[in-house]
Amino acid sequence: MQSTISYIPLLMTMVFACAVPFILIAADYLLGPKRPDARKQTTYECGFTFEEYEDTYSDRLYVRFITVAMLFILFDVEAIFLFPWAVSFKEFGLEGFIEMLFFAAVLLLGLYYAAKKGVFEWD
Amino acid sequence: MSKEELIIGLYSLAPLIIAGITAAIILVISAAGESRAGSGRLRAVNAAEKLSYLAFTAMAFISAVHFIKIKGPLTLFHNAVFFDHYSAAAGFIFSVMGIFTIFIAASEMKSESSRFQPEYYALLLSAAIGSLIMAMANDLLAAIVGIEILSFSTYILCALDNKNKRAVEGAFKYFLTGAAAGALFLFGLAHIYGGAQTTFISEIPSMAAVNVQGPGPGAPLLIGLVFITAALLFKAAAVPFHSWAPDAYDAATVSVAAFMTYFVKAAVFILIFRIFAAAFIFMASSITGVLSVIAVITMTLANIAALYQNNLKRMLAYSSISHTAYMLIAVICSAGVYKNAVADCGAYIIFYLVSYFFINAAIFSALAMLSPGENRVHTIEDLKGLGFKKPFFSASFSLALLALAGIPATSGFIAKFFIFYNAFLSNHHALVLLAVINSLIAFYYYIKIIMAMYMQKPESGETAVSFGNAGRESAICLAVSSALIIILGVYPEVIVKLAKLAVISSF
Repeated sequence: MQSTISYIPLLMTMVFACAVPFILIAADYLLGPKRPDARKQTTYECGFTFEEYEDTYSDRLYVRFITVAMLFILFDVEAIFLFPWAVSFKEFGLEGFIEMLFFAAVLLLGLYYAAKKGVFEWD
Repeated sequence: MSKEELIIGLYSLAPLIIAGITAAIILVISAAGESRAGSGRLRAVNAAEKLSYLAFTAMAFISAVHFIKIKGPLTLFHNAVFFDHYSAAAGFIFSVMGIFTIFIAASEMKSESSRFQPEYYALLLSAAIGSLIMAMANDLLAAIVGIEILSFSTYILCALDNKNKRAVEGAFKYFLTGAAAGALFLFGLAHIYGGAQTTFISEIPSMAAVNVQGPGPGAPLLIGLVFITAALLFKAAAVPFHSWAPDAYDAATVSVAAFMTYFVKAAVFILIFRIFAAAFIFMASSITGVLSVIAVITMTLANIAALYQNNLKRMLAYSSISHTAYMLIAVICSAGVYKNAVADCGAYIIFYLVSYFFINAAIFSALAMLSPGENRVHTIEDLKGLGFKKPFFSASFSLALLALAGIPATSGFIAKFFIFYNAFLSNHHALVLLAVINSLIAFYYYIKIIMAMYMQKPESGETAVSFGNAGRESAICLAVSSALIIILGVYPEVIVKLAKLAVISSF
């Protein structure tokens, strides 16, 4: 019995998680003002509309946003590893320092590669 | 980590380290050559080719040294990786495959009209890193890192010709199915962890025995094994997980298609066999039925589909799917009833992979010699009338096709013979019968190509393909592989003995 009760919060979380999207969509449908125009009806993806680029990018995805996002994630992950290392810098000592330098060097190499390949040339 | 651990770690990972550093250098070369136009690309490609060739040679050499010097199986890095004869043999095979791929790629990379960048070689090296991790993995989490490194390199290689719509389409299909396979693997791994409380291959049997209560192997483990096998069969392109293969092979350039047929397949089967033989042999009997059905469907469907193909690369894709099924038979038999089943099956899988590698290296280097630099689709009609005009080319090409079909005196025959004989010993009689019937069906489409070369005249009087002068490296590769097909076909003992040694000492 004890074990069954301890699962009830989990069940409630699941029910709540399932209900939230319905509530939000219903609220939006009931309360929000509706003034549709052609622009709003088109597909929206990653900061640009397909309509806008239809002539120039009809069959190729506009890729700059994605490369920049990739680079961001790369250095985001580096930061995640750097913080715990910085906190326990003394315990790791010289060995940890060299390992971290190597790790950062690999990522820097990637940055150099990306820069040379023209990821940052925003014309 | 003590100093001794560090040294043996560096020693065991030396091939990986060489591959990684060389790949990084190639990327720098490519980036530095970016600003210069025209001849800059060719110079960078040449430098990258030489570097990667050196790296693969060094990796092969070091793996050979490992193979000779290792006394017995070791686990390193807190049990994350194995360092044994099996992984060293795998490392040697992957390195040689890399060298052959470089040779096949030479005519595509070096022609003036080619747009391929030196990154090609860096990707080959990173694929080698991934497959080596797969071969060494003891922790299944390390295995999935290896699988993903290999897969991502292959996706990019497949889409390398990114101005070509078909190439991008094929690569995208491959990417989506591959991502699904990765998810399946992780899902299965979660169940295995639930069932056995460990992700280490070497610990699964003992932990499973402790944790499982009641009869049977335990549902979570079985579910996990099924999911992991499905994920790996996705990568190996077995029916019903094969749909990406013809599109991806057709989309990729010749050398990349070759790479995908032997390299990816070898990496996947080496991992499948390790997981089967080292971790799940105690419950293999509960999954051999499913695998047998998959093997039969795979070979039948692939061979029948290949009958209707006119495009050479698509036909070879279906042919490679059918060969997956034959190797699957050996995996099934490793759970066999007689003594030494694991050692024999492991050795025969390795021999099959080696034999299949040389055959496909020959076939794809022959394809690379056709119309170099034109990047067009070759059909069987294109080969009409080549037979007596290009005697060396046609003879070697025919030899390789006959080896794929399994004619005696070629390595293809002896590889199939080992596997079928072994299946017969393990009492899988129906499986052997169906496999033999399928080999006969396969004869038809291989012979069709040979007939087109020797017995048919082209409509216009002129042969439809040109040879150019860019195919020197491919010709060398064709000659060497053809010679090896015959040598292995007549004298397979050396490889089989070494493979048996590797498997016996490692499992």
